Amino acid sequence: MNLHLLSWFSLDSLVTRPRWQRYLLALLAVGCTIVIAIPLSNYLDLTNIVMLFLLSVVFVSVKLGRRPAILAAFTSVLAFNFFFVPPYWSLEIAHIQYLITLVAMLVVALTITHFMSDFREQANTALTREQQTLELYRLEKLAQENQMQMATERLRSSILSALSHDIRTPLTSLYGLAESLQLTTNNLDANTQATLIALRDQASHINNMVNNLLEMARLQAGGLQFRKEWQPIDEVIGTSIKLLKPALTQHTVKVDIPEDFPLLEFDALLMERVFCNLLENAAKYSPPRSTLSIHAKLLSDRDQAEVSLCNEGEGFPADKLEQVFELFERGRHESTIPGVGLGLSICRAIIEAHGGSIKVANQATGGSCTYFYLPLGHPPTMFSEAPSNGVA
Amino acid sequence: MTPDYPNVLVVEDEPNIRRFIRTALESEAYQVLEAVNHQQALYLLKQQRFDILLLDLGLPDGDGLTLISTLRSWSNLPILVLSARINDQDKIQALDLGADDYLSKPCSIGELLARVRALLRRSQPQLTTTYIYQFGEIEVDLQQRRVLRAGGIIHLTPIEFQLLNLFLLNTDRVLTHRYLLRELWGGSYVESNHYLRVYVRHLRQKLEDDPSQPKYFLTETGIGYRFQI
Repeated sequence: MNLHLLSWFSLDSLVTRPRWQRYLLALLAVGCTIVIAIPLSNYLDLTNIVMLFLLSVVFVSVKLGRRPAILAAFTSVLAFNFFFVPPYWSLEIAHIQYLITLVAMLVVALTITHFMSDFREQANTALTREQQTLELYRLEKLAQENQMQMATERLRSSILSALSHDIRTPLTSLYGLAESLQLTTNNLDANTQATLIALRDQASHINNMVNNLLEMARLQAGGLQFRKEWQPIDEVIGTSIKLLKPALTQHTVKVDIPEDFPLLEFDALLMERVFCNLLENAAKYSPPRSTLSIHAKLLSDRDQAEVSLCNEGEGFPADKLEQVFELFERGRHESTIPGVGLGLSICRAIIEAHGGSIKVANQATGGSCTYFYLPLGHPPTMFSEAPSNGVA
Repeated sequence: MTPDYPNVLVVEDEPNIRRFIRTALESEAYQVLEAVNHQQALYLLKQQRFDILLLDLGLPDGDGLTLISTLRSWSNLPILVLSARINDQDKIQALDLGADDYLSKPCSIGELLARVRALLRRSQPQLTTTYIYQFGEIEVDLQQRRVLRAGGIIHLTPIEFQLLNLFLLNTDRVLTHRYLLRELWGGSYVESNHYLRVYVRHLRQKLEDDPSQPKYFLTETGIGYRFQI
């Protein structure tokens, strides 16, 4: 079908107007025909005057729909009869032949309106189909973009994993070789011994930094490698303390978590990194032989769990409480304690990625605390098991 | 070669790492043989008997995982996997395919030697079947299904007891979440890690001195658990 024709048929919204308006318009069209035909009646045959009325019926059929068209056909015949057929100004149907005019006009009107409704339907279908095609195209494009994004993320994570492998391999050699030198050579002098230990510790320190950087990159790479599961927070606290044992030889760690503390939803490896960084920091900035205490409690009114780690010592500089989480910010610039300010900013990135928040505060009694908050959410239900007496 | 000393096969492509591992193992009087790739390793494994295999997962000529599954088709040689990758999935797959333990690089020599010793101890043929285990102040009698803590009876639920049983029978081995879930609840629960975590928490609360800093029921983050005496 010709598209232009289609638009002429379908884009005009007269058909959707209220019925009374369409009837009025139909009558108006017939009126116009009368006004045009009266002056012409002296020059035209009656047949051609009928043609003018037929045109107006065609117009009404196309534009206004079936019932106005029928109305137009009837009024046209009446008007024709009234104004143009002698005796003028009367409705006598003197000649039965004008019934044929009426029937012809009705047939034309009905035929046209019938086809028109078909056309309109087809036009609407075509329009809907076009919209569907567009929608499909958009969806497909979206899917393609998604795929691209996924491919990019896959690439990024494979680069990360290759990088971690390539950095860890020489670090493993360095660490292991320094240790093995102590094994093979007896009676090393104190100086060499200290050098070997320093070598090993520095290698381990680099490894820790690499872990932090990789974790940061993993976080920024987005959701792909993020593995959130429901689990008890004490489990990951236990592994962190164990991992950090070499750095905690001078400290005692006290953990205080209610036995029935609800499960929280988090990525265990990332949360382990949070505790490792916090513990390492706490150990660095608190006096030897002091106690680090970890405490968890429910803030039911806020639907959150609060986890805190407190240590003795000087605490954070009062004007730096906000900035300690900034990348590469350190509490005390002049301090001789090694480390870049990567640790706390990673803690914040990880906690925020879990929908939580983190802050530090100094204690009135000296020392400082780090608090973080995680949403409680809706832990999965556990099936309950009938207790047995153990001699089942 | 003296047959009295355990034979260790080290499969590792990085010469410096091979070197310090050899130094460490020889300091304990182990007999060490080295392979730099998959093919060499398979050749040696078919040629002679070893007591333990130390395997780097990232081999240049193929996957360490393939080597594990090939080896497991004819042998139950203890396998200690070494991995420098950040990806836990490799370690989990290695363990599920039959590796006994893993170490992340970099690792300390002390840790490495301890793991090797533990695996060798496990693989030694038992003269008598033990069903009584002791750790800390806990005494477990698997046959009588009785658990004592400092002489007093500890009540365990059937699932807790079954879990304890699995841990005791697999002392010093890493058991993946998937393995434990399947053993305890069957195939349909392999994705429900939280069940397992809650039961391990119960066991720790009942049997550890300090449940938040466990000495026996250790977590291998993202992978599973290890029971260690």
